[in-house]
Amino acid sequence: MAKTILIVDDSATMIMSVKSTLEMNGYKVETAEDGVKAMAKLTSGLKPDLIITDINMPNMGGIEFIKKARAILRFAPILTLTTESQAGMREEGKAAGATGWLVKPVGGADLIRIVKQVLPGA
Amino acid sequence: MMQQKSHSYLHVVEQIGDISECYSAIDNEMARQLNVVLHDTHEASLVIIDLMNALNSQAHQEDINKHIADVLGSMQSQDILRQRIERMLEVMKKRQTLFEKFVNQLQSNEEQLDDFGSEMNRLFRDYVSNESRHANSIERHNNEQNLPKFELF
Repeated sequence: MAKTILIVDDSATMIMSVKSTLEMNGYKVETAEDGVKAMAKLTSGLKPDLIITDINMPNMGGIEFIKKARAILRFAPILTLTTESQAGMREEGKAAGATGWLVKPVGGADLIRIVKQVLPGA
Repeated sequence: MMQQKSHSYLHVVEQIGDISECYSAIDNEMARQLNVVLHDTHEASLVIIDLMNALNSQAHQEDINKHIADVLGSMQSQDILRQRIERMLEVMKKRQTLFEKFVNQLQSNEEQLDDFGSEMNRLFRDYVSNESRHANSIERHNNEQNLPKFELF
């Protein structure tokens, strides 16, 4: 059964780029434009195998979303995909519950390699 | 002499008011142009993604799939550009607000002016510091921390 990945990003281009790459490699993809919409999907029953989230988003940013998502999904890996690069922000993400930190842009091959690394058996 | 100075002062204040209006008009036009750039690059991205999806449906070789994935990855540059432009526009808006506040205080003959020089300086420094947080910014290249691009905790 295909693994489900939730992408959270306020950029339509980012969502289409990452979604297309993942779907071409056999993953099922759900999307949300910000943390609020992503939380609505999670509290409505969506149980993704992996979450990939931006950090700087309106309404609810990535760090706050990661904290809230972690309360619901204790074990699913959560990766950030962001332009934020400094150590302080990475530590904040790690403390919130992120599994990894990816700095944009991420090439398609690299993205799939990392997804396979955090989703063994995918 | 004092009356002449007073006239010159009023003339300067009037000039600054005119400059502020032009400043605002220029900023608004630049913002409009930059938004058009963002829209056009986004539209171009959509076309390329459609082409990639169409090509993928016909692809049967692993190499082609890899190239398609790389092209899709390069689409992310549009989002990085968007964010940089949005940060620039925000600073331009704040700069204009500060300048208008300065002009209003001058025109209302307030006895003591706020320290606009320091505020403008702080705005500039905050912008530069904020830019250095983001990968691919000019400031980032100047303050390289050699952190990995991909890090699993």
